[in-house]
Amino acid sequence: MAKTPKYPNPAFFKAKDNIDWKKQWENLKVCGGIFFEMLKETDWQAFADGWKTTLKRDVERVKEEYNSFMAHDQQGKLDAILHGEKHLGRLYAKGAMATVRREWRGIKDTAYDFYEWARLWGMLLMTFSKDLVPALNTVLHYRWMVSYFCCHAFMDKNIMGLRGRALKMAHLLTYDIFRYVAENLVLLSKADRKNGNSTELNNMMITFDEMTMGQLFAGFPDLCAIPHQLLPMFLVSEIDQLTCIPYIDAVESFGLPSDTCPVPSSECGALVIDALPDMGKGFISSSMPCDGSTMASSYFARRFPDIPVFHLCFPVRYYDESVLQSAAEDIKACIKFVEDKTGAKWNWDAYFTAIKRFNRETAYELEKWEINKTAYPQLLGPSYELFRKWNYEMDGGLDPRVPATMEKVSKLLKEAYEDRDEPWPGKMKYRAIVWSCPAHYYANFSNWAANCWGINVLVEMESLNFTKPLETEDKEEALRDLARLYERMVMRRHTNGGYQNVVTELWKQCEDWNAKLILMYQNVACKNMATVQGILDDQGRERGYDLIWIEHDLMDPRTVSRRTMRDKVNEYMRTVMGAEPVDPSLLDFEDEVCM
Amino acid sequence: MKTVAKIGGKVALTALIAFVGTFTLYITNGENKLIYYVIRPLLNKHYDNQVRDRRIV
Repeated sequence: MAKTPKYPNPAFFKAKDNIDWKKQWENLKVCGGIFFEMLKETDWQAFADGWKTTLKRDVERVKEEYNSFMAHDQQGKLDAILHGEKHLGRLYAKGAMATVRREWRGIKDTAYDFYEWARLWGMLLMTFSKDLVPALNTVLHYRWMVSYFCCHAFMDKNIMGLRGRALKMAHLLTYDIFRYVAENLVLLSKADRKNGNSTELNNMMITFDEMTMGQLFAGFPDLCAIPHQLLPMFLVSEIDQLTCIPYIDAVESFGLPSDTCPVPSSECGALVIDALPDMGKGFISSSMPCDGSTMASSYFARRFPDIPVFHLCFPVRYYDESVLQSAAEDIKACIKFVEDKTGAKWNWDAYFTAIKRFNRETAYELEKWEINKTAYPQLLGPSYELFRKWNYEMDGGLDPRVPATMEKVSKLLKEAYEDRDEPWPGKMKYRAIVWSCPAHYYANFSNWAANCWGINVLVEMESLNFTKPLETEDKEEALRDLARLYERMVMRRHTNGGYQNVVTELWKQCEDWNAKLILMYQNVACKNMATVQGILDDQGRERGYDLIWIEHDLMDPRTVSRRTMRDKVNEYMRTVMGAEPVDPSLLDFEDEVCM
Repeated sequence: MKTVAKIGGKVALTALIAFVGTFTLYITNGENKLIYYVIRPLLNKHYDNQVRDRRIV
């Protein structure tokens, strides 16, 4: 049996860097000067006072926690030690960017979480050590890069309150995403002409829009395909709520109206202040049904006029097969564009191998759906939602290491179902579905809803995409299948898909998943979704669904804060449902600056 | 035998110290506090002062 080639291709990491040391030295001198100035300007007395206050507060908190622990009876104490704490609101402190400590999950689960924490650090250190200097340069060059330092804190937010197998599954899934991110950050830093400046790697590199799916690049195993804005903007905004603000401000002060979708706004802002890497032999754009994305593509072309752009524009009429061939022709033209720009040749064997893997991964995904549709859902929360989006959109079967993870998760999932596990023990009260695009700055909203109110999000809209196995033998049909898939990429399928795909589809899904409660996100800048708001409201009422409208501004937490988002749910649950919170400590807490 | 026990003891002690150190860092969320309260403010100051190469004007 042929050996599976290493992924990512080791040649990418081995490509020679051409760092302009003179420029980097100048940069380092500027940094050194700024740090020196800071040290000189710092009021050390105030600094010491600040830390004294923090320490005092910490001592008080520890005392309070000790007293509250001691107030339990013997059984309560044993329960807290073995099964973990119940009031998670105490992890947050007013005005603090980090949680005061990590959650105590009971001996077994804390030990497992600690192991995963160490494993993640190990992976990050090993990956970045593959080429450390360009990556460090990237930290000094781009503000968004420092947000990735917080990836462990992001993990903590996503797994709050989870226990047992659910905790394990969440860790396994997120680890694969972080590995993808770390590897691509190293490659991005190497290729960026402002940092690693590796001509060798740039000659093998194609970049693409974050909404363009990764599957197409399965046919180019010798090429390094990186989603251009995904790492600097799209994904990092889920990790750190404050990361996009400077970029949004930059483009709004440049003249862009503030009611534009924050995704393209941030990307354009980053292009205006030169915060996106300059790399690759060509760029593939898509998501053209969205006016904001069109703008982002044109800004890209203005900032990097030497990088050729291919616009992959599919028809939005998914169910009309008569337009399918034109989409397949568009893919052929895109393949030719890549071949012309890089000299690489399309490889059908490599493509079919990856797509077979992707089909297996889709089968695993359907398995999760089947279990979540039952009365004993198992894989819930942000880690699952993020993994599905990443796997469907970016990985797409390319990484041969992913099926092993899915196999492990599948085993745990079945065991958990057999044993009727509860991912959030004692907290599972309502079955819910999430509709419309979620707030990036509150990626762990469903985790909060579960911990505070017992609302269990079974699935979210963006997960419900194409599940048909893709063709792996007939070449022409394979291209048509790829077109079918790409027509249903994230954002195109529902929010840009028109009435049938976003309104009628919702009621069908609510029936399928047996969910009466709908967490209805309202991105205040999404014009497409605004057009159907009244219709959704009317039809939801007629059908007897509980629809909680939660406004947000996608990547800008200043417009609608996380706290305001929570308040919408709190109000609805109290007044309409007459419900009691399962964890009252999470009803109101401050996290305006907490990442 | 004595040497083996000695080496074993040292390894166990090192492992114990490493465990206590890393677990303390983990449970106090120490690494994130360091990033948020020390590294980020420093770097933010640096980013605010950087001259950017503006090509879109």
